[in-house]
Amino acid sequence: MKTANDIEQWLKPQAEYHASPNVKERVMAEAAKTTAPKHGNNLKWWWIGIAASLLIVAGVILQTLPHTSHDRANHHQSSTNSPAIRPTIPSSVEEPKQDNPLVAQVTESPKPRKQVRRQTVPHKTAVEVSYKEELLETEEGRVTPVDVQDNDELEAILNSVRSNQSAISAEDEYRHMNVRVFTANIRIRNKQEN
Amino acid sequence: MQTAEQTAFVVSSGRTADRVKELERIIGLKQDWLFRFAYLRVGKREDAEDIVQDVLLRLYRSKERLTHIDDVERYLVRALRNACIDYIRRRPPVVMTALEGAAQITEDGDADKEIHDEYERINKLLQMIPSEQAEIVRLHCTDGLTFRQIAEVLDMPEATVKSRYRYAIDKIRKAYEDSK
Repeated sequence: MKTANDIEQWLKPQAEYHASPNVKERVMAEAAKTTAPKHGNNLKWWWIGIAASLLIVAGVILQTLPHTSHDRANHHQSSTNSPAIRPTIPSSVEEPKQDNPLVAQVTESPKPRKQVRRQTVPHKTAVEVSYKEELLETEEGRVTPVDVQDNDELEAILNSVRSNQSAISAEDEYRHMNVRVFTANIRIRNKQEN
Repeated sequence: MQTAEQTAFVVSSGRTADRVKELERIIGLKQDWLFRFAYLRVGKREDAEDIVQDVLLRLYRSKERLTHIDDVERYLVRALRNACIDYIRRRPPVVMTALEGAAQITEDGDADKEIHDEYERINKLLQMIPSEQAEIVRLHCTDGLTFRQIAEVLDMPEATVKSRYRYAIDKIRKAYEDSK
């Protein structure tokens, strides 16, 4: 007859139980890993910060690009009194040589409409000057000379010319403007030489 | 289960270096006991060690403020018991033949033959009684917990634990007598 104590004795483990030493090593290694990520996280945040600042810099650069072209246009405007009034010709349309400036300029292949307009915008001032010169010369004698200092009147004249020009196609407009710019340049140079 | 030396250490939400030191100390004191606790439920060295490792890491990462050894022990027993239950639930029901069992022991080494035999002997006895009673017997006889500690771990009155234990031992005894 077995008693409860006997059963309890059977249920009590007699053997020696030893966990392998790897357990401690693995736990401590994992614990060290758990502590380490602080540095890793910081690094990640650094990378995010760097990426964000690069994006900001890129955005600023992109924003300033149109401003630079505008500034260039302003620069042209400010230097209208100088004799070197030249339109910025598209890179594909190279500046003609001194020998045959007009022919080379006109016979260049015309640009697509959008490109033409984009290219002509910065040279508004130069074109206006050429218009002004032309108007002064062609209407000399018949009409009283225009006061070039009077900006309002000059603007009115230019507007009327522009309205006439709007009927012309973009390609023709481009050609005409180039011709006028160069003739204006030649005239200015000639005047200065005389 | 508790000695004067053990009561000295404290797992608190202190500095990392202190926590690591405390963890190392707990491992040194408890790892064999934790391994036995897991092995007698799982029956496989690698799995038992994995479970112990997970539980110790969970203790290290826990945000609970365990300021006394009793808190640590209670935490470990609960976590280990739950981890073993999860493991047994996830494990596919494999019926191991005697040959496969022998092969398992050979893989683990000769040192594990003794503990494996013991695991099988204890489990055979505990299979004679319902699982809730078997758990109380296991916690008291094999793991060495007092009835009060068992009541705390299982969230039940101490009297219930004691009565269930008594019934369980009686059932085992009768079953043994009948088998003779």
